[in-house]
Amino acid sequence: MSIPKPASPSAAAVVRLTVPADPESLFVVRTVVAGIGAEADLTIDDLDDLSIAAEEATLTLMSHGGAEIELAATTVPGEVAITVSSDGDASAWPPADLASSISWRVLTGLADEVDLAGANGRPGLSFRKRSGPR
Amino acid sequence: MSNAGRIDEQRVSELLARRSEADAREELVRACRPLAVRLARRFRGRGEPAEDLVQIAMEGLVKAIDNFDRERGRSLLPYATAIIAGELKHHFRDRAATVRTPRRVRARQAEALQAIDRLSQQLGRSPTVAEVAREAGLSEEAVLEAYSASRFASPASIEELSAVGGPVAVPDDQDDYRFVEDWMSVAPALASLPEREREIIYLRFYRELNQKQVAAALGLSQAHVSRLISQALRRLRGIAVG
Repeated sequence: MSIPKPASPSAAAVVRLTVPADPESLFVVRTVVAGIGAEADLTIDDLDDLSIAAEEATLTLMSHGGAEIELAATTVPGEVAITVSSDGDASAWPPADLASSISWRVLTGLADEVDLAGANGRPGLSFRKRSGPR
Repeated sequence: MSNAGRIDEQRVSELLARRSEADAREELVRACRPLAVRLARRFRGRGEPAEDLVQIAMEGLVKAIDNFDRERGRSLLPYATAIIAGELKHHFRDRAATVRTPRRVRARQAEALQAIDRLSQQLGRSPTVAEVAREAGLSEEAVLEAYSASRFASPASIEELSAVGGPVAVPDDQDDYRFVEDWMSVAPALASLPEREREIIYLRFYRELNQKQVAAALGLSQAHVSRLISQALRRLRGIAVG
């Protein structure tokens, strides 16, 4: 018995997770993202980078206000794309000091293609992680 | 939640140009320290004291500052982030870096499950995720994964297990280990079973109780348990095939 494989290798899987904008949620975010990365066949190292980046993105949005954080992940084998957004104030996004924050340093240092444009009119951050050469 | 500490990129750049001078280098390390501390915090909860993590991160930072090649035109901070995170990861796993995830995750699940059993006996209560992580030398994530795959049994049924004196089988030889792997792979299918069947499958095939013990644990007749097992297996095969 085995888990059925997706119909085609390019089929993207989408996972959505909504959590309260509370530091308690970080553990859930980290764990779920690690699971998503594992499904996408990332190496353990990349899994760590991915979940650290997701944690930092979540922290950044939490400090921007709002009650809920949504994480949406799209995966293809070897790559995970994540968008983290909140129901906070979209008019004040992105904050002027974001690019000099430690969170931003960590996020851009560990993830590929970080984008702070937001999502669907919500404050948000998007990034990708691709598996390095193995 | 603090996002304390900013790094003045301009200042970092100036100091980097003079990093051969001892005081400039020292100030550079100080200026970048918040980055190291932040990354160290992301690795907390894996059974390592916070100050040790910061120490490892700081060693990574110093290494990054010493090895950074300014001619490449990149800024120090992304480079340092990667090096520091690398040192921290390296500290936790020095041989897993090239191993693809799924197989390793499964192996860790078996380790985590053994640790859960050992600790439950030692402590006389269910262990916390952090305790299991320490015991098994695993990250909390790995333990949580194992936990989510194995939580189909309600806490009550575990207590009832000891009541019927059923030995809790620890997967330690090759066959048992492979059985655990298979069990993990049908876990999503198990989730779709009615709760009673799920519990019976768990007790019979994962906890390796015989039908009589399962019947005693759940207060059912052995014939009933036997019927439910065949029914559940038919369902599971249907899901696995379809």
